[in-house]
Amino acid sequence: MIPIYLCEDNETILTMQKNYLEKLILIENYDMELALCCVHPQEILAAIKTSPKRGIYFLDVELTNEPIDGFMLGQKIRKLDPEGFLIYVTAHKNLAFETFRYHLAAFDYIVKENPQTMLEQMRQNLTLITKQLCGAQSGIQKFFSLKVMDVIKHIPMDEILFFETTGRTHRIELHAACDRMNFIGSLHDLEKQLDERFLRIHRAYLVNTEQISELDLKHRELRMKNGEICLFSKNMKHILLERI
Amino acid sequence: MFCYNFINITVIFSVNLWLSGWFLGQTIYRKRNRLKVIVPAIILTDLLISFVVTFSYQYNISDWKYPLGSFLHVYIIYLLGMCYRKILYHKKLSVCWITFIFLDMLQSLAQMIIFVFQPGFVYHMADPKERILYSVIISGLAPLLTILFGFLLKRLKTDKAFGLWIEHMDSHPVLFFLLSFSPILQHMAESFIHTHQLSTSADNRMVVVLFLLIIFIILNYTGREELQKLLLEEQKISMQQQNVYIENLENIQQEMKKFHHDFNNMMSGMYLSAKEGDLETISKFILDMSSDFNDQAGGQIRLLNQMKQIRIPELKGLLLTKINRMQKENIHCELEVIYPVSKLSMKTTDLCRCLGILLDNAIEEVLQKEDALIFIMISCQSEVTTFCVKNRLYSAVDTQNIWKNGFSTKGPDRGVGLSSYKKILERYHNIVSHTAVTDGFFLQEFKVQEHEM
Repeated sequence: MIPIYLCEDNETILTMQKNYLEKLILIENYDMELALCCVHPQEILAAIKTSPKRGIYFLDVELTNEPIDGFMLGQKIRKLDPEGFLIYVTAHKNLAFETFRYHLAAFDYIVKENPQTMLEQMRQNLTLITKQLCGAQSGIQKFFSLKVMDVIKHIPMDEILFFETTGRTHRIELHAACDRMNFIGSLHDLEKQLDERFLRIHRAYLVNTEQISELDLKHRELRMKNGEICLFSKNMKHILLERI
Repeated sequence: MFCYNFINITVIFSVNLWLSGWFLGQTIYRKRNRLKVIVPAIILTDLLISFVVTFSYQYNISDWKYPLGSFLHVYIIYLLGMCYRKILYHKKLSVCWITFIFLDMLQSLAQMIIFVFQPGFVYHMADPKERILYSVIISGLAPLLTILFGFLLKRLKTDKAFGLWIEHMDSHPVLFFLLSFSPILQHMAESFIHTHQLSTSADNRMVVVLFLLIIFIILNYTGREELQKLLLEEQKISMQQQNVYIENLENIQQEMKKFHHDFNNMMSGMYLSAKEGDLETISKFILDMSSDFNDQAGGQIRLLNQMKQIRIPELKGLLLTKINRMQKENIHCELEVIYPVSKLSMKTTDLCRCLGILLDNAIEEVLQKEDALIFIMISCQSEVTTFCVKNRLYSAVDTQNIWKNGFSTKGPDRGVGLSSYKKILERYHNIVSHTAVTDGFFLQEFKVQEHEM
């Protein structure tokens, strides 16, 4: 049973949401339960602390007369439940959803302008979540998780081509199929963190062996699948030849 | 003799290196394995210059009938100096040339001033005692004086003026030639005074000092002019930005006026429906009205609401101009700034350049396309500020090649933006960047940490 939490400072809307969700869970036979409907954000936090579990949260962004706003509440929930589904409900269209998604990995946002569409969107979100939960159980894609300053980024392991040290100290550059980023770290630590696909072929390169397309033994160079070139050191030649 | 020269030149040389680092703020171009190139380059140049100096002394080049010999001597040294600067600093050749001459002049000014206090005294290098004295002056007193000059000029902000002047060198060719031909001009001034018997030969050095001083004054003056120009330009830009801001406010006011008019009409319509008890029409009216409001003035108000959070005037100005351009080009833009942004561990000029490059790129990509959309997110959390520009993508992006200087999908003479963006960010230890292609969007982001790591 996945717990659903509601936090909304307008009691009329809160009751409307509550009644609708109760009915919906019964009709659709979702594996969910309405755990808490509250006006004060502190109640949600207290409830999660007592029974920590991956949950679904419908949160109001504008919490009047409360010490924290929806964004800060989201940050606090994330600390307790890093994988939960955060859905924001807002009165205005001016929600900074990109920011919410960036920092909180918010699932969606709903505008409560029109009660009918609001409830409909809640239903759609629950359907999507159910689908995603089913999908996650079948195919598991491995992600490389990296803390970059204040956020954690997830990059699919298969897409990573290689890591490279740059001229600056402790600075690593990640080359992936769709991403390119730099961060502070060391190849040595990364090597330990990653699986056996990754090979330290040079002082400055840590390479995903599945992404190598060509080996140039004469110049001691590797051509990756996207055309980029890495160097490898002399004593890695045999290991590389074995791997490919 | 060669040894003496070698020691002298080494000292002069290290002062030269130190000056360019401290005074002009130029740092040696460093990369992996660069040390292998830098150290030999320094030693080689050092040896070569010493050799040239010794050679010219041995063969009395400076005593040739025409001053050609000493010119040759000076220019060979300049050329060598230029080469070593090219290797060490990876700057443009002309910049290397001028910088070396400038530093050399600074040093010879110091030497000349010392010699002024010993009028008529000629060193006999053959005498070991005098040779040592000469060495002490050249590599002991003169560098000290040079450093003193350095401090003085830094106080006068000549360093900044010189730096600026170098950046805009093309617009001041006169000074470039003046500096390049300074040895010849110097000689001409000397011989002019000599032939006209204006003074005794002992004062020749005084003339040289004066000459060098004049050049420095000219340099300072032109540099300052450049500074003034820059300041003026900045003010002009901020004026423009303010105009844009006012224009925006006036637009909102205009829309409010329009909405007020519509509002009255709607209200009278609603009044009739209410009288008839037609609840459905009334609720439809209310819905229409709120969405109308959102469409008309809502967007602008929302934008200004976000803008209010930005407390860095230059950043605000940049965003206003860019967003204004987007609106004119019919590009939909979403700006998100949920918490105030006031201070940043990044130079404002650098910040504006970086963000400007990202925004220009985004605009160019979506220009005249359907559903053009750009997201700008500035998120200031407790210690990290994230800047993110995201635009809808219409063609594949080569995330590896876009960084190369001169790479562009839009033809030649382009593609400078991203490579300079990268260069600027590389200067900061507290900034990381991320480029990605996700869900049909191209995303560029950089994060600035407040405390130095």
